[in-house]
Amino acid sequence: MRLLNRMLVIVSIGLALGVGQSMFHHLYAPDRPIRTEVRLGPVAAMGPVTPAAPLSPTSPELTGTGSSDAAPTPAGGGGGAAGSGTGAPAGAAAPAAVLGLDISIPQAFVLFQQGGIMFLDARRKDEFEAGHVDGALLLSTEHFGRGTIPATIGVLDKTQPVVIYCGGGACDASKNLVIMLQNFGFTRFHIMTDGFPAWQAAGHPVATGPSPIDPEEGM
Amino acid sequence: MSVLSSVTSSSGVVGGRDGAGGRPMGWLVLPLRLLLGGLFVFAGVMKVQDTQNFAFAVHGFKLMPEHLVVLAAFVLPWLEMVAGAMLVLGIWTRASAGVIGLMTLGFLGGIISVIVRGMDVKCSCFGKFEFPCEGAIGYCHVVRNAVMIAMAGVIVLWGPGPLAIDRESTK
Repeated sequence: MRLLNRMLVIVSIGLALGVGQSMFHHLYAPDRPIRTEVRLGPVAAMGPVTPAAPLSPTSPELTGTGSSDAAPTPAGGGGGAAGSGTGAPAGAAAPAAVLGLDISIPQAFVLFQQGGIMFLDARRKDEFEAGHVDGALLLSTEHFGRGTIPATIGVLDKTQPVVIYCGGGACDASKNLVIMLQNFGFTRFHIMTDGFPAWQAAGHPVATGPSPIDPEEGM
Repeated sequence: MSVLSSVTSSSGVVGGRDGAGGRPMGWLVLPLRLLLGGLFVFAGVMKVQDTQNFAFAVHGFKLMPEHLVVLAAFVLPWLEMVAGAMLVLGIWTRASAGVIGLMTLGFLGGIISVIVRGMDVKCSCFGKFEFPCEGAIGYCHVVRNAVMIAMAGVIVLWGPGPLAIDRESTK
């Protein structure tokens, strides 16, 4: 009985310290809440997409299936700070094509062809070096440990959407990276849900070797 | 039953109260205590430095809703550190070994459930470090946790052994 009581006391001490750290965190880092689910405003994840010619803004590749969060939301509202300027040509009758958080391989490829949108690979370093989306940078949540800010953050444009991918399937690395980037003021994301294997299988451009920016270096 | 009772009585549940340091086998408990306690202190320190990534790791097991994941991410590292430090120092040794044993048993249950569900999940048991098992969770993790549970069990049964504050306080 004494053994059980002592075990309960030890658990209580751990619980008290953990709750204490939680309160401390809420007080001193309220902008960086600990969470595991992506929470987005109605437009925060979305950005109007300038389709590469000859695709039209209403091309099925952009507005079609695979984009569960896609909605014909007017551009520029809410958190989509830079949204309104990058859309369809002025005066175009068709609404700007809007992508949701989750995008398909064809939709990601359209963004890739447009250029100017960074692809982030959230897999392990060895996986990245074996093959990645051409031009992508390596960055995963593990690079943010111990309060360091990876150098990769410094080269990203917060006003532009970033496309994040991992190994596809049930991998959480992309979603986790979205949460981490939100803590650094990024608001526009797309997750290529089918991941790199599907990109590679589709025959899209692939590169090998180390990331041009080493995320293990701090800013 | 008789086997269990003979093991228990001969190996020091009774003797464990005042430490098994006087027994030859008591010296076996000391390295177990230092190794297991040290591992838990290290694991706790690594996790408490990066609560967000530990929360991601707990979430990866897909066993709890988000609010419980966050609570676990804050509490577990401290529990590991407290119990580990008490085990190393020999304070309430059997109780701290019991807590560590139960925690490890819980982790083992999570690991087995991940294997059964065929999930590709990283352990993150020691933060960024992976030893002795690398990569996704597999049978190596099962064996490692089973060994740790056995170590904790031995300490619960045999008591604190030598160089423990428990022993000093009862002299």
